Amino acid sequence: MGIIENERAQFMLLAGFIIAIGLVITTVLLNNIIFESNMAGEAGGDSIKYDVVNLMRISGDEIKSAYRNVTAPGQNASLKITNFTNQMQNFSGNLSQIYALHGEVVNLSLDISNWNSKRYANFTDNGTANGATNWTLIENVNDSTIIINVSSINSSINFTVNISNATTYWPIKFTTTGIRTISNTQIEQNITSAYSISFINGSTTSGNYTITGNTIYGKDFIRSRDYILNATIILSTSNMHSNITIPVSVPW
Amino acid sequence: MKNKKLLENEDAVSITIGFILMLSITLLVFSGIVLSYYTLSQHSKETAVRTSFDILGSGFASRVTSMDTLVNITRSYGGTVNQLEYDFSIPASIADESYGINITREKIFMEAENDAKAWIPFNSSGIINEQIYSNAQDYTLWYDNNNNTMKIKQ
Repeated sequence: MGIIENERAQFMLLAGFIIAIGLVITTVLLNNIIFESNMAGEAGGDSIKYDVVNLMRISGDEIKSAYRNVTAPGQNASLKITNFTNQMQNFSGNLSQIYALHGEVVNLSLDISNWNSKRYANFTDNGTANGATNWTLIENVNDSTIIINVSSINSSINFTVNISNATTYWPIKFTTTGIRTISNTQIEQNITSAYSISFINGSTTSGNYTITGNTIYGKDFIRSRDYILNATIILSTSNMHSNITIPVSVPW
Repeated sequence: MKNKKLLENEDAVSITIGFILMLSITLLVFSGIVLSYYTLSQHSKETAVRTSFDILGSGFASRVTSMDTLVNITRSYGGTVNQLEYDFSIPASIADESYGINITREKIFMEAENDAKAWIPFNSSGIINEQIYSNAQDYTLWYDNNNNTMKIKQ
């Protein structure tokens, strides 16, 4: 009797076993796939930090830009703080709306008390008393003009503008308050390009400065600081809350 | 006897011995299957716990690193972190095992009750030294600006 014609159920049993084993294999494979998918779903990096860093960056840029706009020649000087506040409120409102579309609550607030009461920044790298006291503003300078207004100084610690090239340096020491201009001619009489401009002992002295010029690569540059404005950025998501205050140097 | 076909020859066949043999073989085979299944399942359980620990630990390390990055960037700007919090949940059990997580500034070490262990190396510039357990699921990782320390609260 052929196996196909055999009606004693052996073939049926065999088929049953094959189907059973097939089902077990399929179930195990599917289970593994589902397990792995779930595992992969739980992992993943945290992208919120990029949002916060981005916010810090664009807020800083906008504050600098708004300050330069309202203090530019031709603008109404008496309305500069009002115009600045209006521009920043507009920016903050738009920012909140844009981030709300991504499910994030954002609020930007500004403390402009330093500007209001004309408290100039320290000559440190970030403008605060705690910032790096010795720092380099720019390297590879070809020609430049330096204007420094010292509003407050500790006479026992000499604040110094140090101009140096690869072989020599020219220190310009400040002992009193007041405005001092160092022209490009004066610099060329003391040092040859390419040179670097650094501030030494900047933490105990405050004031504002503007340095303009060209680098040896032919590019214009401006380094300038009047005040430090404090921006407080709040960002909240479903599982993260941050409230960060950063000092922003204006105008550059 | 010689005329009978080999397959139909039932001489020297004892039903009793045949039964005992069949029973013994069946018992041996079933015992083998059960034991190997148990060993396999135990092995799978440990592997599952370790894999879950790796994923859980990596996710947690990612949050701690994010917090570390944000704090360092803010400080490089000369800014202040007034508040920085991450809410996170951990499963009550992994493969039916309770577990604990020990976090230091160099590594995250996780250990389950069945002795399955895993650790994720990372490096944090801020101070963190915390221990949490799976008996509570909802935790908050927060930054203490006064002490430059990362802490965990329920």
